[in-house]
Amino acid sequence: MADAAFAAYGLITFCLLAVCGSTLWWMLHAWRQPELHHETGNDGFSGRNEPAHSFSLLVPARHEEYVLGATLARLGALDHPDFEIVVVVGHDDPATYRVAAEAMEAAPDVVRLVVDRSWPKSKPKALNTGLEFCTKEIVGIFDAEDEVSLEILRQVDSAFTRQGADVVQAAVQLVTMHGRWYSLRNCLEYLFWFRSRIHAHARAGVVPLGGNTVFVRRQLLEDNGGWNGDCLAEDCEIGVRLSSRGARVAVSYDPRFATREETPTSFRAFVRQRTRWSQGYLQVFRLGHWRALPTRRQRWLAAYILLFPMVQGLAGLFVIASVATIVFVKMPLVLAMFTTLPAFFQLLVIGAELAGLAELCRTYYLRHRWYDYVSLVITAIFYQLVLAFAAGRATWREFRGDRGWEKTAHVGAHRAAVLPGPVEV
Amino acid sequence: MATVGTISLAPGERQAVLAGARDWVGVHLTALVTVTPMLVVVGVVQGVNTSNWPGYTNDDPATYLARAWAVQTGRGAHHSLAPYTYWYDHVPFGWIQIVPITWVTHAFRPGAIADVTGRQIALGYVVVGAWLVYVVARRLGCATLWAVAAMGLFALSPLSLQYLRQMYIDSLGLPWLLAAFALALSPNRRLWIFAASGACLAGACLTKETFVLWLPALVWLVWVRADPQTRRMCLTAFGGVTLVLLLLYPMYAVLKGELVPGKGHVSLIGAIEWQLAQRAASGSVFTRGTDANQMVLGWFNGNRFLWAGGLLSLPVIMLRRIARPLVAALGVPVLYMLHPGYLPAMFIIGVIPFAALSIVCAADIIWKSSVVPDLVAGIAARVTKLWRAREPARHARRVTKGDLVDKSHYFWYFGCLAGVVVACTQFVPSWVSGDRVAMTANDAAELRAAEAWVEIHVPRTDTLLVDDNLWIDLVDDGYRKDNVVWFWELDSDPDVERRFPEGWRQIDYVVVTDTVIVNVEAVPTGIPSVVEAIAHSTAMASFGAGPDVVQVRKVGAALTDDPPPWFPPSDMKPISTSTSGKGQPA
Repeated sequence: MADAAFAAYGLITFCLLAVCGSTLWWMLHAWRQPELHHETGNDGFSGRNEPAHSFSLLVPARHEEYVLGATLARLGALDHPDFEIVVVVGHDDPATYRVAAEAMEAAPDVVRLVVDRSWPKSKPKALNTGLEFCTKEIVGIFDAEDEVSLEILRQVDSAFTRQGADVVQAAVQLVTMHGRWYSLRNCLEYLFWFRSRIHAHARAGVVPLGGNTVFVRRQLLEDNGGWNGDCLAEDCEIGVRLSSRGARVAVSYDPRFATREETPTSFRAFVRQRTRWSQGYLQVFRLGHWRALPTRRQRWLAAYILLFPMVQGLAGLFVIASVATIVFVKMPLVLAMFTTLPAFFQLLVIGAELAGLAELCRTYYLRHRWYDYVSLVITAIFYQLVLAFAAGRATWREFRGDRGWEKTAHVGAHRAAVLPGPVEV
Repeated sequence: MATVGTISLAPGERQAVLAGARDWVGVHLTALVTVTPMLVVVGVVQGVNTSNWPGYTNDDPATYLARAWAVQTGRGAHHSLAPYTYWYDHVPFGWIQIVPITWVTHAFRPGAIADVTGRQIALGYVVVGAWLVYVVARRLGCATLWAVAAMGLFALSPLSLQYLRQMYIDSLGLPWLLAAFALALSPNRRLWIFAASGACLAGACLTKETFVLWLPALVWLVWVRADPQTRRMCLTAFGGVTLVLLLLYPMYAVLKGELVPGKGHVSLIGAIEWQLAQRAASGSVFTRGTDANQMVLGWFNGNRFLWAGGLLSLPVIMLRRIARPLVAALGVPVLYMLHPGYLPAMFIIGVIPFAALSIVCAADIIWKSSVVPDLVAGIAARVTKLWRAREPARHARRVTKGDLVDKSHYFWYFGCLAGVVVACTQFVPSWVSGDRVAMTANDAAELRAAEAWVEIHVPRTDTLLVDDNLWIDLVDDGYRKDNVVWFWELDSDPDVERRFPEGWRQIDYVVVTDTVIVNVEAVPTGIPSVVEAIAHSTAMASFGAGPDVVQVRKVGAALTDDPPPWFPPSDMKPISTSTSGKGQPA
């Protein structure tokens, strides 16, 4: 009996090692070689073509009257000859409507206001409503709180021309490191996702898209029926669906043109956002569009990526549990040594995060203090627990069929957090 | 379809494979024709007569083999890291890594001689180490011939023969350390290669703890080598992997509940305290007559050229950016030698390759330097110009400055070669005579004869006190493991003390070998039971002559009237004649 339990425990540890290993591998993908680091991190350097495309920028906004005005003003000032802004506001949200209407009055040629009357409200439904009013060649999505680089459209325009892509995902970076205890780790997650991991996935041809600063040919969207209105991770869903139908997804990362965002303003909001993402990924997995991907490798990878929030949650719990087991359960020495390996792997991950924090602050001109490094280490376990909790909650909600949209509130803290001055080249 | 071996290949593929092989040979031709003969030379010089010289005045290699035996057979105590209680005296990866070798070669079969196995394993490690020295030298920018010379400097001196032939854990860890350097110098600067370098360093440090002294040099090297864009992550990967693997060792102690000292069990921290604080210090290197002084002088006399050359070349090395970390690789260990604590004799093993690398790097820098020849050519050009102005008729043929530069470079190379030849005359004769002794002398005959005598004359059920050179062989040949006692353990291992409450009185035979003699002379108070056993024994068989005679002695109740010629050691107190309990020197 004990032997069987030990064997099972060894097997679980082996799986944990695989999960930790893959996480670390993808996390560090962009740093694997100096050439790769340069190639994946400086898309803006690859030469700028003359603008050749036109853009409709979709901005769904909901209860975001405090941040929307500034976002629209900035979007209106983008450096590109041919673009329009389509703001989508809910019919039950007069305050945001007022801000959007003011923006439209200020720039009637550029800004258009669409009222979304669908119910219950969700981002994909708002996007679908807005899509009907888009007239340009390429549809780009920004959130109401995004701090957008003025040159983003020129960079994306070039990326479309150069890479012949159907979809371009540009960089997003959370920059409010000092908001809450989880903010620092949340920012780093974004760094490793957009700086490194997404490039590895793009190489393999399976990219779960992000929620904003993503650009799709309008024709392609319309041919595929737009977004899935019931999906909680509409961004991921459309990415997988388009990939499985042969669309070419390109990633264009350059820290100088990254869209800056803020971390969720309260712990509650953070947990809700995580739950929504995890549940959304699970939903996309169950929808099964990934089964139509051309190669088996891609299908396996897609399945792994879509289940990753759950896997990550479970793995986090197991690593913490394994440390406890070593202390409290008497087991063969070799097995005990083996079960410590995933925890040691986590140490490597934390090491990479420490180095990543230094790189984040250097590239994005963020102020950091020595105790940020300490807090990064201390928060590791708690963050892992939160992720596990969110994954569990998501699974429970999905199991019960509860798919209400839990919106993340925004106050615009990332605007103050950004230091003046250009991003380091 | 054509086949290459068992792999089926289309004709086009076969051509591609052949072309690839041809390209590879083409690229590596110089290396192949120079490195292979040098490896053969190293193998021959190190390998011939290796089991007979140097003699077995030290049973450390056999102790590590006994521990490998414990790991392999599972017959050791407490999770099998040693035949007796493993007490954290050294990190265990050294004997763990040789287990696959001893297992595959069936090294612990009856009749096999463990000492010879150890020497053979050490030979393999030296050859691999020599190849790695070549790789590191090449990656430090040295020309092929210099890199091949580095192999010779590393492996062919009498000092190298003396130390590298013995399977010390330093010898086992050295290829790991060199591999860490070779990987950190890898030209494509991949993140995971730096991580692998860290893993190799951890492998070295888990084989012999003193290799941690090379950490600064490797960090420096990774810093210099990594691309500025990815440097931070490369250092993290290197350091993280090193740290995590090193943590496995204290983790082992924690899991066994042996991290901190406590009643009735050994502990990691206790062992570290002993190594750092309590172990008999070797004294200052600079005080005449201390152990450290004697040892360093011995190393120096064993290979003056390597020492002087290595240290003198350090300033030259600073001229080449990639080679600068060698200053730490050689300097930090040399500084460590100067500290007054315990200094083991095998410490030199880690230093030898870096002295060799420093010398060839400096030679390569000087050889490729154009400062001196260009300066000479410039002066010559001025002088000829002046002469020509004075007597134009005699200088009808124009001598251009280019000719002079070529000529001065030619003389420079010639001068460098002459320097090498002169340097060789300084050390090659002594190396040749030293190596000849190493390749012919037999310092192990008495030990082997004593071993054979024991196996014929001593019953398999008797209790023997021996050194580890005999321990494995006797156990493999049918003596009961619990009845063959390593002479150190009778006074220091709680398990053995439990089995032998009467101490030396329960011993039937003591085999007095070089190792036993050396240790009784050096630390008689550390092994009082051995001293008592010898004092109460009579010689049954003697092998060899003079003070170092190897004897098999039968232990009895009465004080002996024919002690070995060296016994008791001059600075030892008289033996007690008490009859109660375990014997202790008064």
